[in-house]
Amino acid sequence: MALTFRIKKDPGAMNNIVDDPSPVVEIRDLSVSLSRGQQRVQALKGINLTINQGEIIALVGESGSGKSVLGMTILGLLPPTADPAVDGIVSVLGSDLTNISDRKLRELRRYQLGAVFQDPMSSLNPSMKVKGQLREVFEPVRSLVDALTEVGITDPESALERFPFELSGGQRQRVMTAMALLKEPSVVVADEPTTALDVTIQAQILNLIKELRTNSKSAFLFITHDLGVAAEIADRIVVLYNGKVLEQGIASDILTNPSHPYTRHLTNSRITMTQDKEGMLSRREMRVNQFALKPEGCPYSNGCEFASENCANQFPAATEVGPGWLSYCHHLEELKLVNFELSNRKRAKTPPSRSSSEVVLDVAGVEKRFRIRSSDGYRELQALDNVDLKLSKGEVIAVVGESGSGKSTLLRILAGLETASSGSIIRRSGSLPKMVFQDAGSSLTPWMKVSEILAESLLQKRIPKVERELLVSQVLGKVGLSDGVRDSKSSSLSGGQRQRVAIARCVIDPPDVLLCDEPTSALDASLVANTLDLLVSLKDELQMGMVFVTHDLAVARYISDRIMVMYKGRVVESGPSELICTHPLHPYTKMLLASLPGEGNLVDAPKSEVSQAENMTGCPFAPRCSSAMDRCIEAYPTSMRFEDRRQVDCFLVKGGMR
Amino acid sequence: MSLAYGVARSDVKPIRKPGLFSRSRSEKAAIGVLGMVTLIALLAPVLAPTNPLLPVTQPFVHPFTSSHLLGTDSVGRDELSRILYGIRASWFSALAVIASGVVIGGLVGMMAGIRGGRVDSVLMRITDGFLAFPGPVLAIAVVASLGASLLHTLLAVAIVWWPFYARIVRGEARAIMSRPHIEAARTFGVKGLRLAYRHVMPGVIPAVVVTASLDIGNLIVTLSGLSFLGLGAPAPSPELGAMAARNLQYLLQQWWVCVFPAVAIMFLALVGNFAGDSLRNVFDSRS
Amino acid sequence: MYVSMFILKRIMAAIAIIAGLTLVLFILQAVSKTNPVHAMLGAGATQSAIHAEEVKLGLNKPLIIQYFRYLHGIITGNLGISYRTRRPVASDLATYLPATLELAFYSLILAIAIGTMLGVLSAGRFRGAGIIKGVLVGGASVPQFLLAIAGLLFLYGRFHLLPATGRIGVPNPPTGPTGFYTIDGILNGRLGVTLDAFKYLALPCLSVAIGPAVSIGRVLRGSLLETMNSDFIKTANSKGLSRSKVILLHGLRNSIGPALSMTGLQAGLMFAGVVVIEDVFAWPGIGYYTAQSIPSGDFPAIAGVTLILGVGYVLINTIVDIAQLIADPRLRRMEMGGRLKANSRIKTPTAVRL
Repeated sequence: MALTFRIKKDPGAMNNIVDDPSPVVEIRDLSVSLSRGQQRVQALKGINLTINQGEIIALVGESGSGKSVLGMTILGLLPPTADPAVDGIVSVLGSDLTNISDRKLRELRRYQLGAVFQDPMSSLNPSMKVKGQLREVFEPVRSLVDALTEVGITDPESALERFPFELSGGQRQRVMTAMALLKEPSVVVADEPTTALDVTIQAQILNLIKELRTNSKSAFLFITHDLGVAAEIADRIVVLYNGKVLEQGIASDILTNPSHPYTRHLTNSRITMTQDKEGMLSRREMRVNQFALKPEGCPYSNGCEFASENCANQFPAATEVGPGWLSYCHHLEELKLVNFELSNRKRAKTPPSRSSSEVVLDVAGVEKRFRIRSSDGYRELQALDNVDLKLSKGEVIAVVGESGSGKSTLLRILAGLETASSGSIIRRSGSLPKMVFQDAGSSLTPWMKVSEILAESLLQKRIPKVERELLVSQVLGKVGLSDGVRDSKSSSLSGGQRQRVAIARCVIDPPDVLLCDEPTSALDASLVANTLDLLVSLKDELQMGMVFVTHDLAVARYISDRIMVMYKGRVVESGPSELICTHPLHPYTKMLLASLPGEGNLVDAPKSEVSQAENMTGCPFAPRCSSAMDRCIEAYPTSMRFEDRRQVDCFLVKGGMR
Repeated sequence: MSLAYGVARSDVKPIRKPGLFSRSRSEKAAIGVLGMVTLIALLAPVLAPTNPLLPVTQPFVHPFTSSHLLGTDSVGRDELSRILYGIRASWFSALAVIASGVVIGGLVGMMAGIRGGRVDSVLMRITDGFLAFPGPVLAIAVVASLGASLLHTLLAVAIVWWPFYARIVRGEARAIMSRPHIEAARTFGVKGLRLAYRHVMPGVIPAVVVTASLDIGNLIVTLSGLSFLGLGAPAPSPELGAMAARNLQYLLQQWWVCVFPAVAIMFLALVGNFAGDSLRNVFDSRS
Repeated sequence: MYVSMFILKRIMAAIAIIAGLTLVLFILQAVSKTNPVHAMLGAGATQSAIHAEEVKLGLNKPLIIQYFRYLHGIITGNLGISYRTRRPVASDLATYLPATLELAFYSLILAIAIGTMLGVLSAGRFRGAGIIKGVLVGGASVPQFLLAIAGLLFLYGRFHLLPATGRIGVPNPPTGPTGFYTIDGILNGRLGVTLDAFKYLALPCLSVAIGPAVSIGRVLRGSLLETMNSDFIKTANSKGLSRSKVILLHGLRNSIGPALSMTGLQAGLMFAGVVVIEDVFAWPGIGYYTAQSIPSGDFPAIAGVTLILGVGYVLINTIVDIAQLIADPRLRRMEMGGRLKANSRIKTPTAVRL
């Protein structure tokens, strides 16, 4: 396997670290505990971290690692309702935040600290115009129009007069960025600033941040769970796990040759465009609870394949692996001997053929129109426009697109949750397909026991109770859960367990077609790998057809035989997965591929926002397309068909059959 | 049959979180005080030292004397006995109105919230119509029309009381209906009563419990206000609001005959509000 | 466009509700124990006099016709004759209404002021916020007449600071033009009247206002706490704004909605509370009038009062709804593709009544 990360940095940006090593933030022995409900949680334990002027540090970790807590600590914004107890030194430009007057702290925030949060919708005051919110930061130093222009908003005058809910997601995050960055603070804390955005918008915002920081000397603490994003933007990477720093160092070092077993696990769990499709994603068995973990032990020793009793008892001292590269592990020497790219485990059962010709789902010409209320009465929204889909037994079709592409609407129609306005849907068996929802946890009724949830899917079949109980036990085994969870309420399960229960619910009575609605987008990287492996093996075993909706092309490529790319209700390109990813034809597919973080393409993405104007008559993508012609505005192109059931809707593509 | 799934069976015990029905300390306290007052109300005939309707000694015996803890009123009836019986009447009246509100409002609200669409808008129009009536004032009109008796008062109040519950239940049911687990259940063929009973109702209950217990205080105060105006049980029967009202004239000389019943009302309302508040905190911290 | 549609709808709804109220009152009248003819003529009336009276009142006509006669009467300002005072209910109400309006007006202002204070202070994090929180829980439990009694006992009975009953002590108070002594005093150049009127207002006002104030305070506290936990408050704090700016410009502004609905609700219910308080303080308003009418079973009087208070209640709530629409930009600008429906207005607070 090739390198996991392909990093192409624009020249000049790399040098910040060496040029000016003066620290702006120094954190020494920081411990933070918060109260959650009735308990106190130790969110951070003994953190040491220095942020130098002008550098971008990516703080990487899974959910619950304490990365946001660290960000909020640096901003002095830990929620008072959580009754935080902070121990240690957090020095920002020489003032210790743990011991600072309210007034001083506000002054510091006003001039020296900036913050960008995850959800730009909830981070902007809903009842205040953009103008007012910007003015709180800039007036009277800087023209607000200039500020918005600088963050790439194309029509700043009108944007100023709008309320946040009248802006697009990308525009909102640009406004947040303007408020945080343009005052040229010493430190910016960006907490997952691109997670809630579409990939193409994410690419734009990342490029915008890169550009802005070359003009200022702001240092960044960039919090992310996505190593790809970290690879795009970071000079240094700090890996956090359960409130402990496990490894920190120069980004390229850590990403290409991680020293700590946890970092290795993280980089290995990432799904890239070069993933071996026949191999399994999770490369090792999870080992659980080998030693009794003491509070002063290494928090990762519970899941670590190299862990010894020593690990559970005592957190290791820092080992300097290279210049500025610290790793916290007892077993580094031993690890050096183990190849980083652990050999891929092959799937236990390789399916004879990944798909057969027996069609289980045949969708033709499906349209869906919604009536929506707008400023002047009602108007119609075309959510789906002439969508065809043919799914064979054992085949996986991935539907890829951004928010608003209609991919979820399509899935809901297939699941029978909505009815199509026109078109035909033929299912081989009369029964409806089963669906794995985006947020598995919330798709389970929280107060019901697992056994009841599972057995419920069998109620219509009038199976005797004893047999139902047996089937429940069987299916729990099938998805890798112990029989002990059957009496638990779903609200008391962990995220991974809930995901498995949600899948079990679908396959207890195996359907012809399994629908998956972004089942991995809310999960941590390691859980994504496990979930996809589970889905693939179940599909092979039960010979189900699968429609897998995702916004992530890398996941789509890995899991599917065929990919359908959707844009504003239309399938703009479809065909065999590998072909679509290596030789995209439609400009939108190309744009999606170029926007994938961590693949080294991002430099080409635009920095300014692209027009979101609607094109009702012609190709909906034309306003965003760099190679759009006049005729694209006027008419929608007829589909060009190629061999392997490949189809592209674009005037630029020639040579196929109409 | 065994398949390798990349992960060993997770034999991890489920994370222990407080379950929906396991009891925390403040919940116990809330249930405790509610139970205690109900017990006092139930046992009023046993606890009361004398007959509340008959004079037992001379009028206006001062309170905190050995024979009459809370003194006697203008005709020499034992104040403590009257207040105990008054508590009994107020407490059970409040519970009765709340029960009727929960049942009627619950049914209407569940129906509207679950069915949605036209059923929802028709039912909610009706409910909103009732809500838009000024409740207590309408109660005055009802009692004035049907004549003064405790039953009429309760009936009148119950008529204007259920829409609040219909609103709350409908709102909660609607919120739950829009949660993914309902959609998920539907794709697995769950519908009708089972959907309502297993997938929606358990989620509605906390809000109803909290509202109902907070409502005890409101009702006690409202009912006592009506009884104060003479819209309750007729003259000799011990009613806290009416006791305060009828003895208003003695306020400056024999303050206790007027103040003790009023304080008793406040005590009952406080119990309701305290219980409601702690239950709300319990449910809030769980969600 | 959208706003005017909404306003139109709200007004239509208000009219429908008032029509419903008249229907309810009519039915109550019809099933009433007290026969209006007997009530008017007394027990010794002759058969023919009774019949004549029945014809005069239209009681021999079908119910539906009677209802329309009743509606017609209401529109033309005829609310019937009071059994007790033997005068038209409408003119009785006209006499008593100004006193009630004055009491309700000042109580509302007091309630909003105290409520806002309690809400903002109790949401703060400082020593003593717990006490204010306690006041909010306890305050909702205090019956209004207990407050009135306590006020009478101490401020009048013990210290003789404030007068006990009535509306004014000055002889020959001015009779116009507003009917509010506090305002008429100024308009007629008699400041003494205004001052005296405020003295008489103080206790009843306070007794009426505490309940609604606590309700408003609780709702405001709740929504303020929720708002202060939201992300945009973090943003505002990260800008380094002063604490008061964060609370006022970002916090309060976005929490005012539910408190506003509660104020509307309370303003309506306040009329009901006024009935009790007017009775205690012998305040010559429609509440006092009602309290006098209850023992004598004077249904026309009570129906008249109910109608007037009902109309006031519906009007106030309609105005509050429209005010909220205008105050909330999300509701005002419907460019979100109609995701916010007209009735998705901030949830109706339900916690506290009377």
